[in-house]
Amino acid sequence: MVSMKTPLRVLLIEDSENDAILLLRELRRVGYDPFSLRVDNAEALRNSIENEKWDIVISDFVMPRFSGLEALKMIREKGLDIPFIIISGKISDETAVIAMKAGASDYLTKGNFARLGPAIERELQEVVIRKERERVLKQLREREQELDILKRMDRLKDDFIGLVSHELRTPITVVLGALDTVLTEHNNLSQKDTLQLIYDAYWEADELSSILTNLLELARARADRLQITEESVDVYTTIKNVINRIKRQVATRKITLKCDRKLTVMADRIRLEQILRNLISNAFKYSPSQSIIHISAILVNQEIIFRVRDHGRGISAANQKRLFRPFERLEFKEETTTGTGLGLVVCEHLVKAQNGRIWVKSKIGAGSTFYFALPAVGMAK
Amino acid sequence: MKQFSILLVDDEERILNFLKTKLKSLHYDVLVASNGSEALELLQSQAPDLIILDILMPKMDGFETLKRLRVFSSVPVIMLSARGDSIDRVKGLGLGADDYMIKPFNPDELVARIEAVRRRVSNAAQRKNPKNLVMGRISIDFNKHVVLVHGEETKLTRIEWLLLSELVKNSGSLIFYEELLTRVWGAEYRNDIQILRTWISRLRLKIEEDPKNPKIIRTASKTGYIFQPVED
Repeated sequence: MVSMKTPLRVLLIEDSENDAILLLRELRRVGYDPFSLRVDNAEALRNSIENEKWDIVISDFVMPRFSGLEALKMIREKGLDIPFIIISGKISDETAVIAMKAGASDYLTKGNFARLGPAIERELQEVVIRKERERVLKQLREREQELDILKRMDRLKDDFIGLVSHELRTPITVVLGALDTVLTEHNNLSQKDTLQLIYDAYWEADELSSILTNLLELARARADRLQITEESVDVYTTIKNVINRIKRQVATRKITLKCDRKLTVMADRIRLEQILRNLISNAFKYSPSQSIIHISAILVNQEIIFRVRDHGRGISAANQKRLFRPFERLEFKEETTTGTGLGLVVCEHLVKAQNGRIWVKSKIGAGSTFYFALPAVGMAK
Repeated sequence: MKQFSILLVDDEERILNFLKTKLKSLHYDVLVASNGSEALELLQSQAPDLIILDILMPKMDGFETLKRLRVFSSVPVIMLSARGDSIDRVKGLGLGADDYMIKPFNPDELVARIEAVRRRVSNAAQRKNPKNLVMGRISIDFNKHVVLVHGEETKLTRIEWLLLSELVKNSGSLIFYEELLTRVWGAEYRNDIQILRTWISRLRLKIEEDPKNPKIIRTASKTGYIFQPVED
């Protein structure tokens, strides 16, 4: 029977050249084709384990400049899972126990190599089994983590649906309630009261339409189906239009606008309006009554930078990172204000789809400033 | 005669607006508050006859407001919720709300509920009280609204009084869940057994010697309760 010899990368920790030769001869005899390196001090061991991969370490126990236990400790500290067999001229049972406790795989006495072949075979097999088990465990842990993430997303989506339906309920209540009041009580109402109720219903319907637009845009963005029609858009007029629409609804905040009337931006007009509307109505929602909201747009390095600044209570650094991620607003524990956080997520999608950037600067107690930048006309990429 | 006055509490200005217009047009006296603390102040200074209380408000929500006002007032409260599930409903009624409506609602239905709560409260006030009762360590004076346990006064809330007087009126005989729920909260709550259980257990805590092993308000499994005067 002709058997192929099994290649084996052996690291020998051994001060005696002769002992090493004897050992290698024994390995060949039991069917291995060893590739080996002999080291006899810590420095050499460190180099050899950092630069090469070994199947097995066979180490003398007592050496003039090194010891088997030290070598074992170095290898285990490196986190290397290599079988470590100790071979010693004289080894007491106590020493053997200490070595095994320190993580040695086996120990043999010099001159009695009968167990060497089987020991190596067994250790190599165990390495394979250990590695397989680790691989499976690692996979299991990864699947568990994925499952946790999916469960969390699922829960957030449920919460999100709940919140959206809640967000829709308030405007619908007003639309139905105000119009119903006009219909049932018109004989008792002054013209002023009637008009106010109709206005209320109109603006809440407008709010509903904006929530719906955000939902649709988010769905389109997530399906990669945002169709952007870019054109040259007049910045001042666009901002002014959005402000006027919001202002007529809620006259409880002052708005300042700084913007050069000649600025034009490369953008999808409808989307630009939606971004501005989301940012400005957030500024309304999250800042105290009678406070000022500052809006500006300037040209910097071939980009138009839009800025919406409020005097609300600000957003912590940790929450700022999560602002633009879908559904994350739901987990802001300290928030008591209602809202889905949908607006900002949509803003980010819309800005990015127009080759722009969006970011926030905020500090608790010092208000928030939202920025977004879009290419100035003639500079579009 | 003083108009029936209603305090509206909601942080949404436009909801307040149509409710105020509707109720004023029907000749109710209307007060408005846009948050819980404002509502508590108005309750103390103006003593409205009924409160319509939104649940979701910033800072102090409707539940917290209700909890605080129940410490000193038994004014009827109708809660408004923007959540469709029944958790809010159970919680609100458990805290002592009289009725509960989900947004969006029809304003005329709200008016109907206001009138129903108003009727229930005034019926309860006019209803013939059961005879005063002395049994062992407990004495109950239904006219003066005083319960003495071992000679010491125990305070009951309006709902606890209603429950107790319904039970005592049927002393010794079984009264069904639906019957009790209808008489105390109204017909639309006749299936809310959980709410009834909550309030019965509170009442037991106040009058039973050992609330876990009740002798006075006995449970008839899956049907109702029996009030059993005992000489303990």
